[in-house]
Amino acid sequence: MAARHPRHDLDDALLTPLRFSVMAALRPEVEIDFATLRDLLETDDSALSKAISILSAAGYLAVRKGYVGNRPRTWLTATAAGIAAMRIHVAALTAIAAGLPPVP
Amino acid sequence: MSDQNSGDQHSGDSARPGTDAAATLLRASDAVGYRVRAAIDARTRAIVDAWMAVAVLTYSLAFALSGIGGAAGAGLISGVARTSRDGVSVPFLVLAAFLAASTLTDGLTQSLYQPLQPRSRLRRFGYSFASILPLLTLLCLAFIVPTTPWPLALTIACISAVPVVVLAVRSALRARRAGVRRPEPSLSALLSPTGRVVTAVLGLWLGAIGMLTGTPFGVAGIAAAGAFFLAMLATRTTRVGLDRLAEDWGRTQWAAFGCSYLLMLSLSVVLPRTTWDLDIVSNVGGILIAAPLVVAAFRPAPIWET
Repeated sequence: MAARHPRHDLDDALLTPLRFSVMAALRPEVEIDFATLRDLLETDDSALSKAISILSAAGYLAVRKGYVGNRPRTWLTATAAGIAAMRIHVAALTAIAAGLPPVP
Repeated sequence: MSDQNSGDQHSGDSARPGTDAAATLLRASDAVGYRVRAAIDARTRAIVDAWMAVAVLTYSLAFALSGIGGAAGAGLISGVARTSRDGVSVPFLVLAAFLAASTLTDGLTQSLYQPLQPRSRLRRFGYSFASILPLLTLLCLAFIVPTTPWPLALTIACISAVPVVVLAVRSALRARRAGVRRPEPSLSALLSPTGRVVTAVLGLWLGAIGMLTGTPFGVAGIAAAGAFFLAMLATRTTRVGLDRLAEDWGRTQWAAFGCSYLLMLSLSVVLPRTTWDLDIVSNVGGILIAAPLVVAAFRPAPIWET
């Protein structure tokens, strides 16, 4: 059986630094406000919106619209599929960073 | 950060990170995780501080209203602390409720990801100290000037809650700025068997303390409260400890404890003041104190996938 390089386990949806960071920030037990996430990741609204729509289409995060007072807010949380995908992706990145040999 | 390398550009291996890039991404992930955990901690602290503010305010009010002399007529409120058979046990009822609340909130504090900075810890100590001073004044007044007018006693009780209320408001504002909150849980289940038993036993024990406080042999209430304090100390940080239990509880269990807590304090105010049959009052009070927690022990709590 041919050796399998860890890069094959990387998830296409998580390959950009921003999408990866979004998923690193999100957790299933908390919802994070869009503006908070934008400030946390030091990005802008349009880039974050684009990343969120791709991750949402992949089923990795859930978006919920709501209000705080009269102000509309968007809340984001990771889904179980997103957490699982992130785990595999991080394991692959760790293997790559450690320079591990291909998995047989 | 930008998301320009999006879409089908990622399907090729050229977009995949090398050793250095992978290490950089992992470091960035850790840094983001750290900042999110700090935001989650701010929220947890706000909940703990809010609980403690309510607990201290109600404790102070109950302490001032019930007085510490009770049946002996040496209570703070002249003329009202005369009907209890053994007023000595009433403060133990109040203390048991408060210690249970503080141990549970300590459990929540232990679930924080990051310890407080020394400066924050010092500031919090200052708030607690500022809260304890008026309470100590109240205690001294009860011994030295037992005829202290009740408006003054109530004012001192309210003053004792001011520092913790200020702390709670500041924590709540900080948590609001942190921009994180709990979502509606998608999964929930009954507490673990240990959690169910400990929650039910907590309810029954608090109920028993309430029941025994009004009996003709009020010392039984003190004994039950004393045993409760010892049990809390002995089980601290063990899997049957209240601090551990707090991490498993959901909103239902916390709301139930809130009801039991308020009922205990209400009973401590009612017992020295009522002209009703104390056996009936304490028995009904004890049942009412126990019921919310016993029911909540068998209600589901949310499960958070981590």
